[in-house]
Order: sequence, then C-alpha cells, then structure tokens
Amino acid sequence: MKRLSNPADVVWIILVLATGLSYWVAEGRHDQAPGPRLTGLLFALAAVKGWLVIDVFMGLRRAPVFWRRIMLGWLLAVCALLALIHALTR
Amino acid sequence: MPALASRDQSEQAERHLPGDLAVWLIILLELATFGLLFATYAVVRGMDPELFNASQLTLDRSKGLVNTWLLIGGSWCVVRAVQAIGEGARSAGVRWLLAAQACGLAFLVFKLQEYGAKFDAGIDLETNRFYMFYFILTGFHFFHVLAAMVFLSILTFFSWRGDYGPGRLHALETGAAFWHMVDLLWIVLFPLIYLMR
Repeated sequence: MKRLSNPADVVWIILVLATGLSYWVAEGRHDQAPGPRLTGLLFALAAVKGWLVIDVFMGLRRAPVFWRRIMLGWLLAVCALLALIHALTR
Repeated sequence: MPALASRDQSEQAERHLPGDLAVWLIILLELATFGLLFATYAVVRGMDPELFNASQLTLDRSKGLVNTWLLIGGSWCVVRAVQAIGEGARSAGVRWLLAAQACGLAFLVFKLQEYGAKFDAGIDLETNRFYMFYFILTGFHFFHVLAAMVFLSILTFFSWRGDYGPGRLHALETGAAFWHMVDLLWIVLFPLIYLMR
C-alpha cells in the first residue's frame, strides 16, 4: 500500500474508475428512453472528477482561496447548467 | 483577534498558486470560452434531441472512453513529474514527462483516426448540427492538446538539461497548469458529446 500514500495516485485511480462508471452507465442505457437522471448522474460524476483535478492535480487545494473558488465555481456552474438545460429541453 | 488575523495572513502567505499568474488568467479565459460553447451545444441540442441522440450513436464512444483515460493518465504523469523534479529526482521526472507526452500523443492519434473514419463515411462539419458542434468542440480541444504537447516537450528538454529542481519549479508548474486545464475541459466534454442523451 506504500504506493498509494501519494494522493495523486489515489486520485488517478478514482478518476479512471469514475470515467469507466460514466461510460458503463451511459452504454447500459442506450436502448432505453433518454432521461434527466442519467444526465444528472453523468454531470455529477464529471463535477467530482473535475473537483479532484482542480484540488489535487492542479494543486489549488493549497492555493489562494480566490483561485480555488473561481475554478470550482466554474466547474459546478457549468455542470449544473448543462444538466438543467438538458432537463428543460429534452 | 489580532492573533487570529495574523494567523489568517500567514496562512494566506503560505498558500501558493502553482505556476505563473498569466497562465491562470489564460485558463480563466479558456474556461469561459469553452463554458459558453458547452452551453450553446446544450441549448441547440435541446431544439432537436432526436437528431443529436441518433448522431451521437454513430460516434466511437469506446474510443472516447480510452481518450479520457489517456488524458487523465497524462495529467497524473505530469503531477508525478513535478513532484519528482521538486524532490531532486530529475531522471524520474523526465521519465514521467515522457510518459505524459506518450498519453497525449496517443490521444491525438486516436482523435485523428476518429476524424478520419468520419470523413471516410462522408461526414463533415456540414452534415448536420450535431456534427458541426462535434467537430468544432473536439477540434478546438484537439488544438489545445497539441499546444500543451508543445509546451510539455519544451519543458521536458529543460528538465532533462537540469534547469528545474527543488525550489525552481515555476515554469514547470506553469506548463502543468495548462496541461491539467486541457484534461479538465475534456472531463466535461466527454459526457456532453459522447454520453449525454
């Protein structure tokens, strides 16, 4: 477990698994009616992945608060907006 | 209270924005641009979801999955490279940078194959509105990966030459921030173009 003492390694594994989960969930639904639940889940997963990239890979967890807030704010706003537009227009 | 205020100030002083301020301003500009493009795609898609869903099914979604893994892998390699060079392990750092470039190169090759398959099938920007967005969004992103690859190649050379090391990471962190932004954009782009329906 020594290799996993590095947060970047743990985040990489989570990102790989979350990406696989997004694909698996979406592919499993291709024969079903499209719906906002799937899209909500996909963008929730994207938000979690983006948050890990911003905090750990980009190192903003230890950056001035302003930069972390603005980056996470962009991510959450975009993911929420895309899910909302999909729910309203499908 | 003054003690609390001074602790806050020292905590703020310890906080460090990795890389150059200029790259972070560019990142904000890029994120705003892509954010607008993403929202425009979602709105236009909402006007004709059947067309977008049917067109999306013609994409090679498994290649999209592999490409996402490649960009995530590339970002991880860049993080490990910065860590290694920051600890004085220059050779390991250069190897991590080369691994990141291998991921980026594989991404570009797969993307070109994807475009090639579409062009061979007679599909291009003018086929329909889905493909117009598909080519514009992924093509715009493609050029960002290409630019990030150029930056990383230069940084690899300087790293190999020993220009960076403990306490001398500014340029490397600047390039790394741009690379991670390209990854971050794809993390939103992948579900939007390939999976959402």
